[in-house]
Amino acid sequence: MTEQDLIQQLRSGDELAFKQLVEGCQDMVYNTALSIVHDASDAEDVAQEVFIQVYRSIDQFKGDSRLSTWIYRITVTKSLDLIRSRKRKKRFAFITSLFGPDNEVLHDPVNFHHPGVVLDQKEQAAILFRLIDQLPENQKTAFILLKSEELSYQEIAQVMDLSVSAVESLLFRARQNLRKLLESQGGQKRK
Amino acid sequence: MSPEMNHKEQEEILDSLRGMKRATAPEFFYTRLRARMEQELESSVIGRFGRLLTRPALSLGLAAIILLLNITTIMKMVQQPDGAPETSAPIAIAGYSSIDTYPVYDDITSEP
Repeated sequence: MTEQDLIQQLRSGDELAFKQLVEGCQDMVYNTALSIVHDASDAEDVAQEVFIQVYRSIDQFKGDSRLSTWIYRITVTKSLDLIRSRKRKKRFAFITSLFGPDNEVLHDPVNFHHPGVVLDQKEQAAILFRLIDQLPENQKTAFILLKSEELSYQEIAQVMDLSVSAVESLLFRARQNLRKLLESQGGQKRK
Repeated sequence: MSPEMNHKEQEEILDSLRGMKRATAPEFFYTRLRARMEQELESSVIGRFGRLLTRPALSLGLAAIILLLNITTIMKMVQQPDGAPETSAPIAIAGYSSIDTYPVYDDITSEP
């Protein structure tokens, strides 16, 4: 079945076509979400929301990019939304803890270990994921799509709706910032 | 920690995602997704109906219509036509609603 056929069947509300789409893309969506949100349960939630949106708004898909590109775009947006909402909740909890009797200490999440990372690189990867979290959103997205999903610069550019040179620049700055963060951490350790 | 070693460590960390495999979605992902979709569909139908009822203009309008219908019915029952015999309100309501005290047992012939 070609992608066009699949899209047509999805538009006509074909359950079997939807199942085929989910089973074909679930790992791609889940892995991308997991690499951004760093929590298995949240990643599953995001992945479900992504497919619900695909099901509801397939009519809005113009077909000027590949279906997988569109799905990546929804996944990245939903994952970043979840992180923003987490940050808002954290800020709100901090403010309420200042005024309320509940002085609960807010912990940062523990190290995230991606299940696909090679065993002897788990510790280094956990450090890297913690640093990636501190990057600006667009640098983080480009870096994760490159490293976690192994997309080409061209594909990343399509997902992020940017030019290839803009993606190159984002990735260059991401690596620079990661180096700076590593140096500052090294400096802090030495002190 | 020497600066060279530090640099080497940094490079190891930056390249630590090399060869990373894709994480796989949890088992029965599609089944759980369908369950959530059905649940959301049900709650959206109930929610839409609930939201309609919570609109002040609509709920007040509905209440006004019901009140008006009640008043009209009572007025019709209470206002007697000129030639009609005078009946009390409960009897009038019973007559209007076809609730009558039909003497069922009167028709049964007594057994010898």
